[in-house]
Amino acid sequence: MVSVNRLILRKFKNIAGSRYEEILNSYRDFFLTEEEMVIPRFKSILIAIDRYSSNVPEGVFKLIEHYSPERVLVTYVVDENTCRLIRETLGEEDADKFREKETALAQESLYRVRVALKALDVGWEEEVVFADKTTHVETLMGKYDVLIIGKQYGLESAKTHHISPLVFRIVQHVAKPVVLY
Amino acid sequence: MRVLVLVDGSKWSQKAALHAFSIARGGGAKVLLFSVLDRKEVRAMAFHLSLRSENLEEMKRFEETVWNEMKKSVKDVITSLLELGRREGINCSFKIVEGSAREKILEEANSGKYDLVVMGAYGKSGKTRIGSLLEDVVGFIEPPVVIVR
Repeated sequence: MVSVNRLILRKFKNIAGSRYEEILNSYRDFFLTEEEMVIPRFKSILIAIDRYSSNVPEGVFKLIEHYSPERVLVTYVVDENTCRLIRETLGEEDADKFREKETALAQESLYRVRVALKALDVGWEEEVVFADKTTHVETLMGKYDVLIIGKQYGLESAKTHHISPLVFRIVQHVAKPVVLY
Repeated sequence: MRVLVLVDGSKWSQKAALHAFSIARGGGAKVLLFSVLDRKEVRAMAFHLSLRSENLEEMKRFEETVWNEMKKSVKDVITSLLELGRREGINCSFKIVEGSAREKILEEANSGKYDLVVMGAYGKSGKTRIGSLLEDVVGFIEPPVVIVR
């Protein structure tokens, strides 16, 4: 059966005639072409967590199972600027203590994620990085199809913001589907 | 898994539906295509486009025409998506309601009936700032939300 969308597109193509390509270029924000009307497949997933968003709900793991990805990377990001500030103000020793404590917290959080991912039949890797929380995720997303991130990523308090400003920036910059939990 | 897809007829909401079908294709997920028709949008449009007209009846007729076209357009998009989904063996259905978009979306999304909400990053106006969508809607939705680009 020919879908209505195809009929509309065909009719539109007939009316537009030779100007179809020109119209397509000018108005491509407003309609899906026949070529775009396909169900996509998502092969890789990036899960970005930090100390504020490490409590990944069970529903997210169910979702990952439905995506059935070939690879998953769980990246636990610690803000490197905080580390630098401690080094500059309190010294190297305190900065090292901070790194140790943050790494221990990251491992604890990753353990919970690890247990949930092991129950799924997907290949996955994990990492703990000291980096800029937004640029790290934005850069990695060049290699992944879907991003999963908590609304509170990078934000301690949920009282004043429903979504962290860092997540705002990431969603605006990453031109891929983003799952917010 | 029960998936709610927000469909406003735009290209981005169609992409959201395709994304939901991709999730559901593995089996076991149900997809509901949900659309809210807001009469206020049409009233504003009819008013501004008919400012030169001195005939109130003409303005009302214009509003009715635009409203009917809006309903037809959304139904066409939903029919097209349902056909595609069902051809792929996906368990999908639809629901169209009238009212304030934000209110109705939050009511449906937070009804406890859904495990996931899928929506387009942009609306009928094409690519705009995503911020307002995140601030006004996504932040208040309880289940995980997929924003599709």
